[in-house]
Amino acid sequence: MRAWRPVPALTILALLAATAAGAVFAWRAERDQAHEEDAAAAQRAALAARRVMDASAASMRGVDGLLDPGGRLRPAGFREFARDVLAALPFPAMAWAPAVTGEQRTIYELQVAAIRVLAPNGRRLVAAPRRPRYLPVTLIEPPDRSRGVLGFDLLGDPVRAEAVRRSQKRREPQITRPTLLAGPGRIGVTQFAPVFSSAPGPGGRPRLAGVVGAELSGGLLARAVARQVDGDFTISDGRVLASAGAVGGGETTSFPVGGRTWTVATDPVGGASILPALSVVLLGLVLTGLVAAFMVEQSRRERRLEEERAAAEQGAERQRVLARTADAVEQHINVEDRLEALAETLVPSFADLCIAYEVARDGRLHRAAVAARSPELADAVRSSEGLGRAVTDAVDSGQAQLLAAERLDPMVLSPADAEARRRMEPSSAIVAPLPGRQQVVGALTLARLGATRRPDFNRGELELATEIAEQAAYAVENAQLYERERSIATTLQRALLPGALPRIPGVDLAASYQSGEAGNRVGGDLYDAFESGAEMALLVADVSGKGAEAAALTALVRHTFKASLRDDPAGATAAVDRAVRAEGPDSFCTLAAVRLSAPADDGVGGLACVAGHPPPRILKTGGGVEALPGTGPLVGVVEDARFDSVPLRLGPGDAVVLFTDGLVEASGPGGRFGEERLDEVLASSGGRGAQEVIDRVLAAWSEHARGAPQDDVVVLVLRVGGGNGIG
Amino acid sequence: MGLDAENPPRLEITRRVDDGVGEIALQGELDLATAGDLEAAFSQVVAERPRAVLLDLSALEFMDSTGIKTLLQLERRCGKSDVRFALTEGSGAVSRLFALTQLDRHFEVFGSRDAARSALA
Repeated sequence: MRAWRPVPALTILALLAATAAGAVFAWRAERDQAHEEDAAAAQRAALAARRVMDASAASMRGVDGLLDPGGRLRPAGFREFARDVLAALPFPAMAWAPAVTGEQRTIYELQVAAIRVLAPNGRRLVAAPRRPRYLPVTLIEPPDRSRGVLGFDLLGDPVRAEAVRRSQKRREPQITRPTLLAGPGRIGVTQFAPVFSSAPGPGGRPRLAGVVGAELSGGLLARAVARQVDGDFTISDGRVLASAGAVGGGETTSFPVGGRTWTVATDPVGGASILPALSVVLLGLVLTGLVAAFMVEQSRRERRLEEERAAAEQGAERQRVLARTADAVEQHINVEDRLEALAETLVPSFADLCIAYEVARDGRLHRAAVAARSPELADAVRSSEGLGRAVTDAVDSGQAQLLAAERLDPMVLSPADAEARRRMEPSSAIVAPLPGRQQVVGALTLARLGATRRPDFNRGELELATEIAEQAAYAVENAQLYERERSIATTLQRALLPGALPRIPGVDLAASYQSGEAGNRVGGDLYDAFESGAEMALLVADVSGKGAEAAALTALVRHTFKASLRDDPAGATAAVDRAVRAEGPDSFCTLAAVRLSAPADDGVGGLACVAGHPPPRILKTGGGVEALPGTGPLVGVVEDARFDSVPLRLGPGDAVVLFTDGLVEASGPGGRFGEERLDEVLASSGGRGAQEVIDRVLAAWSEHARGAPQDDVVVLVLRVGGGNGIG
Repeated sequence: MGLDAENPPRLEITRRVDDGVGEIALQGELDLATAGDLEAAFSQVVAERPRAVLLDLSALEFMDSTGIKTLLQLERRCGKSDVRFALTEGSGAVSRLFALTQLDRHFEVFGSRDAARSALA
């Protein structure tokens, strides 16, 4: 269960890492896309700028046709040319500057304007210094732009002169680098296209007639490019020519126009948006949160299930222990055996040592059972005196206690038992009283010893021990009740037995009562022999019911019979029947009764009533055995029961034998004793004295039973003839 | 009651409720040790509210006064709930006991299960 704990943490980490990676990818993708867009924009800007500049360069081609055959410029032609170009391109003006030599300077200045150049401080125009050649502006289209430009010597300005010479050499339009324009404070470039006359110059080289020039301001160029391009850009060749907005970094593209290399730089159109990356992060965090929550819930649920399962297991284990102890205790009947069984069951599974105590009838506590891990330990405890205060405390207070090691020593065993104590080294103990219905009936001590290294008793186990003690108390009380009942019943029954048999001259009378040990027996046997006037009566009965109940019924039967016996036993039996029936539907008995007249020389006659009972035997002196017939049903049950008497006759030396079914139903290894076996024994006892007959019968019975617990047995024998010397 | 592990149950009981008649058949010995089992089986049968209970003793080998007492108790319990109580007769020692106590005149006893069933229908 614990092994999978790292997995959730790893999963969370993995999710977070994935989120981070996702965000980075999203950002990069955005940035790359922005870069691409920048590059595209730069391309577009460059393209736009180049188109304009190419166009402007191209526009100057064809200026050669401006000269007439004499090599002079036709002003109308120039203006027409200039107007065409100006319509298509963003030049504010176009100018013509013829080549003027030093000698021609004066003539020129008289006709047009003074030849001037920018002063060194660059602020105003001053007369040009003497030079062999000049290129002064003489024509300008549109003419309203002429102010201050006419007479401006292109060769007098280094930047322009350089471009002029370049164009002359390359024989194609060329552009200056960005510079201040001839006009108030604007940066721009001037484009020059050389015009050559058809007549060659000195040295055979073509002679420059003049130059057509046009200025392109950075602003105009920027506007033209901006129409085709979004965002910021700069156009420069090292010096910025045109710009729209602020540019720092970004993409650049370069291209050559007019003899110079121009670079267009663009700024990112928009910054890479952080939105996609942000969305990924948010999504990732939400997902991670959900997964984390789910895992926490899972682990919580797992923990709950485990706790429930542990609790259920604990509960089941408790039930098992209670059931085991209950079963073990049930197998026995008396208190000591039950407590012994309890202690044996609890050791060593629940405790290392168990001592069970019983509260005796005098109210004193005594040790009833000891069970321990080892026989030596059990002996040590048994041989020790005293109880320990904890036990008497438990009995007095009625409370179970959980004792930890520190409090244990003097409590579990008395202080005198240092030796036992030392051997025990108890580490924790439970002392619980056995709570009976009205008072404490005993106590239980359970101890765990240090040597076995098992955990100390906990509160859950204290509760279990309390339940075990309650269960044990119930068992002990029942056993005590049984024992008391049994002793009462035995006492009662014995008390109800007749004392000495009557001594009747001419009659030999003997009886035997064997009390059965077969468990908590049902029923009680009774016999009686008494004189009734001049006659005698014999009674043997088997009464239903348990213990004391049987004893009471026994008394009823005996006294009712005796009181009702006037003439014949049937009538008395009927009286008993009525009395027993009045006791309730479950009360019944069987009986055999014989009433005999006073013995005469020729024997004795009488009447017998046999009601639901094993038929008494007539034992002839010669050994013949006859069974009397049954003359009535079970007593106390049947409606309209009819009891009869039958006559019998005993000659001298004959005997009548009455008995209860415990004799013939006695079970032994060979089965039931049975009436046949009885008749055999009787047959071999003909002519013997009453007591001897009984002895022989009981001997056979005892041998048959071989010590197995039996029901009660009564045998009553009356023999005619011979004095009653035995009694 | 705790059965002794070495001795198998000395009374085998089969019970069923069939068409309003609860039947309990006994085999073995009915005495102090086994009477409780019969009482328990009877309780279970009566719980299904039959109109009659038939106790089949034909396979019963032995019965003592505890057995008699138990039969009387069952009869009484049936009487309280207006349930008819009948027996099929036993043999051997059981029938001798019935004859001796004349309980065969007290209880409603049939010679066979079929005779009992048709009488109880």
